[in-house]
Amino acid sequence: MRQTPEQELDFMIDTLNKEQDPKMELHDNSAGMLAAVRAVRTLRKPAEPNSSFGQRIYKILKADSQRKRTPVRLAAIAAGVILVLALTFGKSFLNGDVVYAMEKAVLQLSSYQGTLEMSTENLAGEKWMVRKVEIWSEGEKYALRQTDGTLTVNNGEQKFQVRAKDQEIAILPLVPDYTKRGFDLHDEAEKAKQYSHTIVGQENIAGRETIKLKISPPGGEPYHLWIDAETDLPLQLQTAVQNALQTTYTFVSFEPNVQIDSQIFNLNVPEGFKVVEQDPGQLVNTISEASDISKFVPLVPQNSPLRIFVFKERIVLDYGDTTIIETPAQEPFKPAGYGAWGDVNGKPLEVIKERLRWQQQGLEIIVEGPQSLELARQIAPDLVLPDKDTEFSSQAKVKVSVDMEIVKADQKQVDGGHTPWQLDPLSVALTFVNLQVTPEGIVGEPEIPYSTFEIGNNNGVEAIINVAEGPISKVYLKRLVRQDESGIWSVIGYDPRL
Amino acid sequence: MSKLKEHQQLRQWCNESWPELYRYIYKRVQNREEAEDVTQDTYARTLPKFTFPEFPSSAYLKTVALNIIRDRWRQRKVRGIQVQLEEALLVAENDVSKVLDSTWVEEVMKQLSWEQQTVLKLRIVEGYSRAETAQKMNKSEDAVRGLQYRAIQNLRGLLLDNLKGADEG
Repeated sequence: MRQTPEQELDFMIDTLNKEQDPKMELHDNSAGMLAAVRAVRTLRKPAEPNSSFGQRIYKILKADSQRKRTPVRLAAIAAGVILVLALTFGKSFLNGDVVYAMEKAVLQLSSYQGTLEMSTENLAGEKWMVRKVEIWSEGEKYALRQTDGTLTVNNGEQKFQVRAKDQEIAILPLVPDYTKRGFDLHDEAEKAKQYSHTIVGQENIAGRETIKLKISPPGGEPYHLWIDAETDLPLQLQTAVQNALQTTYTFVSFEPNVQIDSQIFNLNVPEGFKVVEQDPGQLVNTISEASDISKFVPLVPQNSPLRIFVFKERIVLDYGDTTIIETPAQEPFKPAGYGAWGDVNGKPLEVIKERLRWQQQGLEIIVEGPQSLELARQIAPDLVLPDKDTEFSSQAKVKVSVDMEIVKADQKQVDGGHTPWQLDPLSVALTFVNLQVTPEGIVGEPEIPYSTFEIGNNNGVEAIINVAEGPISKVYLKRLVRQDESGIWSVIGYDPRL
Repeated sequence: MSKLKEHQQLRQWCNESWPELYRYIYKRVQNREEAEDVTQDTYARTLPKFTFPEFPSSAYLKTVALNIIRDRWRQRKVRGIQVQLEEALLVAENDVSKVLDSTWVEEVMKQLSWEQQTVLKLRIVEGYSRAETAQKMNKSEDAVRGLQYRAIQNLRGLLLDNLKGADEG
C-alpha cells in the first residue's frame, strides 16, 4: 500500500533530520509538505559538510584541469567505456534503473494485445504447457480467450463469459473484479520495484531481446523476470521452484498500445446460445435508489463514485481502481489472523494490503484498491492505521529465543505451499501453548482448544494473542522474516498465567 | 605558469568558493547529503566551460546550482511541475525570498496553535524522533504523527497566504 500522507511526512522529517536527501516520488501535496518542512528547518543551524568535503571538491577541480590538458586521450577512453557498457547493458545502462523504466512503461500502457502461455517444469526437466490465454486489454476493458474457446469479457458496463462448449453466455457481477488481477502487469512492476533486484543477463525470449532480472523477496526464494529491452515491459516471469515445480508465464506475442477492434468487448448472443445471469447486480444512478432497492442506507464518502451497483443486501460503489462494498453487519466483527489491526472509533479495522474492512453503524464495509485509505477516511475520519513501529514484545514476561535459520527454512516451506497455518498467529500461538502442555506432541484435539485463543493486538509486524485458559495467558509473536501478509509468525515471548 | 603555481591558485579558489556555495545550496535543500551532491555537481558541470586561469563567478555557480536543484526536484515529481512553495525556496539570492528568512518563518509559525508549534519545534527544529517527541509532549506516537501532519498542512497554507499577501502588497 502507498504510504499515507502522515507517514510520508514522518519519513521526510526523519530523513532530513538524518541530513539525508529524501529521495522519494512526490505528488503536489507531498512536494508542498516537503517545501514547508524545509522552510521550518531554516530555523536550525545548518549542518556542516563532511570534513573531507573540501578535499573532494579540490580533486574534482584538479581532475578537470588535467582533463583539459589531455582532452583527446581521456575523451577517447571515456567514449570507449560508454560504448562497451552500452553494448553490454543496452538501455539499462543508458537509461538508469531498468525497473524504474519498466514501472514508467507499465504506467503509460494504454492498451495491448497478446498471448500469454503458462508452462510448468518439474525437477526432471519435463516441461508441459498448462494454459494459453489470448488477451486484449484497453484501459479498464479486457477480454481473455482460453484454449477451450471460453471468452471472458469486462467492457466496463458488463462482465460476461461466452462458454462455447455449453452454448451459453453467463452474465457475471461487474464488481469487484478479481479476474483481471490474474494478469496484472502493474503488480509485477510493483513487486520488482519493492524487492531487491539485480540484472543477471540478456536473453532472447519469443524473438525479442530482453533483460533478465533476478528478484529476491526478503526471506524467500528468488525468481526471475524478463523485461523487453525495446518496450521496457515485462515479457516473462518464472517463479521459484515450489513443490518441485517451476512455472513460467511468457507473453509469446505482445503488442503494446495498439488499436483494438471494439467488437471483441461487445456482448453479442450467437444464435442457439442461452443467457444465464448470476446476480450481476443492478446499475443505479443515485444512492437513494440504491437504498430503496437494498433496504439499507450506506455510508458514502465525499468523493462521488463512478458507478453504483445494487445487489441483494449489498451496495457496491465503484471508483474505477477502488471498490467499496457495504452490507448490513450480520455477526460480530472478527478480523482475519493474517491481517493487521487498525482502529475505527475504538473498534478493530482489518488491513490486508490495499484492503480495509471494518464495521460501522451496523454496516460491514470493505474498501479495496489503491484509493482505499483516502476513501475509507471519508467514511471514518478517525480511522487509524496499524502502527508497525509499536513494540509489544518488550512487555513479554518470558522471552523465547528463536533460531533464525529454522525460521527462514519455515518461511521457505510456507512460500512453497506447505504448513500455511504459520501465517495465522492464532494457529502459531495454539501450537506453542499446547506443546507446553503436552510436550510429547499434539495428538487429536489440542488440550487448549482454538476457541480459547483471541487476537489482542496485531500491527502487522507483532501480535499479542490472549489465551483464556491453560498455563499461559498471553503469547507474543513477530513476523521475523517478512513483514507482509506472506510472512510467517514466530513466538518470541509469553506471559505465564499467575 | 608552472604546474605547481597553477595548482596553488586552483586550491585557493576552491577553498574560497566552496563554503559559500555549499551554504547557499544547504539553505535551500536543508540536508547535508543533497547539499554536498549539488555542490559537487555544480563544480563538475561548470568547470569544463572555463579555461584556466579564468574561474566562474560566485553568482554563476549559484545560478547553475539553482538549476540543478530545480531539475532534481522536478524529476521526482509525478506531474513534473514545481509547486509554489518550492519555487519560493529557489529564488535567486538577490531576489527577496521570505521562505528563506528564518525570522519571517518563525513569525508565521506563531499563528499556529501552541501544540502545533511545539511539535514542529521538537520534531524539525530540535530534531527529536517521533518517540522522543511523544514522550516530551505526553502523547502517543500516532497522535504526534497526526499532529505534525496537521501542523505542516496549516503552516503550508499560512506560508502561501503570506507569500501571496506580500506579492499583492
